[in-house]
Amino acid sequence: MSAQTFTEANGSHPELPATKLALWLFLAVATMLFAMLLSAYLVRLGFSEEHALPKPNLLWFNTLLLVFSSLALERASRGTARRAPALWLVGGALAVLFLIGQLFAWSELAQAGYFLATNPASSFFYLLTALHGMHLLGGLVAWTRTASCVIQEGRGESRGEAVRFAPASSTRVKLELCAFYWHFLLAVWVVILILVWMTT
Amino acid sequence: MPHAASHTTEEHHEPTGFWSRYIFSQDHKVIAIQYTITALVVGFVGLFLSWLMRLQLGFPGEFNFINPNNYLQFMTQHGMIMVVYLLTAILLGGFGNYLIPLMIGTRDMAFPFLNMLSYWIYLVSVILLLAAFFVPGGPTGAGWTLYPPQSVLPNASPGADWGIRLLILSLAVFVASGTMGGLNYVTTVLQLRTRGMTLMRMPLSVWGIFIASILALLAFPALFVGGVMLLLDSLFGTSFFIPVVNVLGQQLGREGGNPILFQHLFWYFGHPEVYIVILPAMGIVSDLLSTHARKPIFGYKAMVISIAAIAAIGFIVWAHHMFVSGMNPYFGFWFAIATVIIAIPSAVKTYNWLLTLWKGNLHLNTPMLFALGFVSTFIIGGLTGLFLGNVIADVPLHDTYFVTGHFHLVMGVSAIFGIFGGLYHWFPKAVGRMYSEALGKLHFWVTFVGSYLIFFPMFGEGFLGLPRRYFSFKGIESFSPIIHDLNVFITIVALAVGAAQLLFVFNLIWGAWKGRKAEANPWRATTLEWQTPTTPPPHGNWGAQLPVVHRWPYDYSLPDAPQDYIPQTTSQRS
Ligand code: HEM
Ligand SMILES: [Cu+2]
Repeated sequence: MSAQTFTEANGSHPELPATKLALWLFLAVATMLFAMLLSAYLVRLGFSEEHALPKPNLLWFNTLLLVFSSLALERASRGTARRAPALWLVGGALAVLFLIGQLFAWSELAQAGYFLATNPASSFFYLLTALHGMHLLGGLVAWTRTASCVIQEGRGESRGEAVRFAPASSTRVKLELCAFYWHFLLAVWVVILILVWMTT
Repeated sequence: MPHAASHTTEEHHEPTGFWSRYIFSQDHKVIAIQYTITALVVGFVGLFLSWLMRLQLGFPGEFNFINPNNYLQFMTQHGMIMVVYLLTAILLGGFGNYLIPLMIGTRDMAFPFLNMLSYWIYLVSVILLLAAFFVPGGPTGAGWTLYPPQSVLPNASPGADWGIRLLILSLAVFVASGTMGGLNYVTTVLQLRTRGMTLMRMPLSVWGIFIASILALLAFPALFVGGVMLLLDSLFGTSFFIPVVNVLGQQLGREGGNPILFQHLFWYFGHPEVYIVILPAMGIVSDLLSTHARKPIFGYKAMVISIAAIAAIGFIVWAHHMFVSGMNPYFGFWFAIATVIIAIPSAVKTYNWLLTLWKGNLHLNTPMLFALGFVSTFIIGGLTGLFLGNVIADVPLHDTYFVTGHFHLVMGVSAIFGIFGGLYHWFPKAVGRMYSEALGKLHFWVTFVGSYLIFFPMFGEGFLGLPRRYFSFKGIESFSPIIHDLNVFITIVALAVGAAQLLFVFNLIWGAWKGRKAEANPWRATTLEWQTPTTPPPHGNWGAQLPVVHRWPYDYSLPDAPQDYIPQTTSQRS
């Protein structure tokens, strides 16, 4: 990418990759987005008597999936190049399962008669989970693009001895950023879950 | 191959095909020009809509095709187009793209591909915006603030079905584009400055755009969230913002929604948005004043601090737009105080501009005239803001032409003066040819005098109580006999000023085509973009070597220097 090729002799901070800074900025944007939405949620609930919402037990299971997904990606980014591909694929697969699980949770709600427009709690629940899921989908795009690098390097490594990625290698940075984004989405999900639990 | 790339230098190839060079280009300068032209084109649509409104207000009943419905639609689209799709897009996408890499001495943005994507997504948002004119019911007429419930309830306002949905979609797409751009601008400024370009050596244009980009990143999510919820209310019958409503004795299936909640979300975006627009314009104007007055900017540090302070305080004043919506008096008090406090850094900037001009050697060419025009309209507009910041004064003024006068002078006219000044100033660099000074000055004087003639009388109309957003004043003529005459007068001037903008278009097109060849540094300016090896700068900007910076950007008229300016690339000793 030309991003890197242009950075020759510049006086600023080559030790902090531009992609890392950009990710932090993006997390600030996403934090604002969820903060706005959650504060609107709390305000809005105050205006209706009715905010019952059944809480499918499936949500606990989904949460576990996301926790393990995050852990797997974290391990992949810290481990050896040889073990990284497997961990990486497992992490991604768990995230996909989480999304499927969320869809099942939606259908459980719908079967119990709670739709998007039923009451403010259900409206916000669908909206929050949808936006959270879309962020995760975006993450999966980055995950896919990183996967090919990981597998390529993993293949190279499996012939030699197991070494760690060079600390500043671009693959290593990508793994770390992806994993970091996953942890962020996990944290957002936990906050959503706690708020929904406390208020419905 | 992303793995090895980080170690090679100078690996970029100049794209050769027409498409990759001018259309799907990743060169920040080409993207800047694409943004600028697109924004100006939509801007002319917005201008045309304002003509239609003025025709109705000046000559009610004469133009039968204008009715209360489409009047509101023209008004809404005019406001939205001007604030978002013209001013925001041209200042961040246009000036941000052109100036940041050149002024901080880098070859391009941190993420050129994302940059290109940002432009094309912006174009999609513009197409969605304009598409609303062709759907059943037409575009929304709920006002640029999109307040529910009337913006989404069937038949409550024009375009309450497809119009509002398309507009929200367009805004969501715009937010995506703006976020991509913002990430790029902020990262580029923080990461890619050339050797010697410390933060406190950056030109104020870059500071303004940089801080405005941060504001955009943090403020757009509020608009996005509010928009999505409004869209769901419109499409799926949710009650985020829609309270219990009875229409003709029938209860719609809504309950408990809160319209005020939308107002909070909207203005949490809306107030920072006005600074997203004005901070870059302030930065540009600071650079123009210093360059064309041949004097160092006065109080550089105070300028930077003021920009940051305005941005920070800008997040805690939003509810001054909602005094009339009703709120706890203590909140009203707080927001009024915060609003007055934000005037302090604004005043600091104004004093600094005036002190920069003091005893300067003013070169009154077109960019300078527009910069001076900015200072004047910003002062008048800003002072009237202080009236509105007071709850007691705002309650009678809120729904009147006083507010229209305030925000047009302080935001509309000021920002557009900054933009005109900037476009004339950097035109020789971007195109390599000169525009016509004579035409430029004519353009300035007509626009400057005209803007005052249009917007100043509105303060008077507002004091008399003339309500804004009204299609007709039939039945309230008794307010004051002069209002009708004033409205005729304003309309005639507005038509003339609008038409005068063709001078500007003609000047730029003619200049780009036939203008005199420009020197590399026609204004004898210090900043890096004027020191490029060729004009216009090539892809990659700097040839073999990046420039090295040795001084701040405002070394004009130093006592013992051989010339009256010293470029930032000149080392301290020579
Ligand atoms: C010195 C500073 C300023 C103060 C104290 C101030 C205060 C206010 C207040 C209190 C209102 C609400 C009036 C009402 O609706 O009743 C208002 C409206 C507005 N202001 Fe300012 N303002 C200032 C500067 C600016 C600047 C710099 C901009 C833009 C660049 C701006 C743009 C606007 C706009 C667009 C509106 C109207 C929004 C609408 O209702 O459609 N203001 N201002
Ligand atoms: Cu405001």
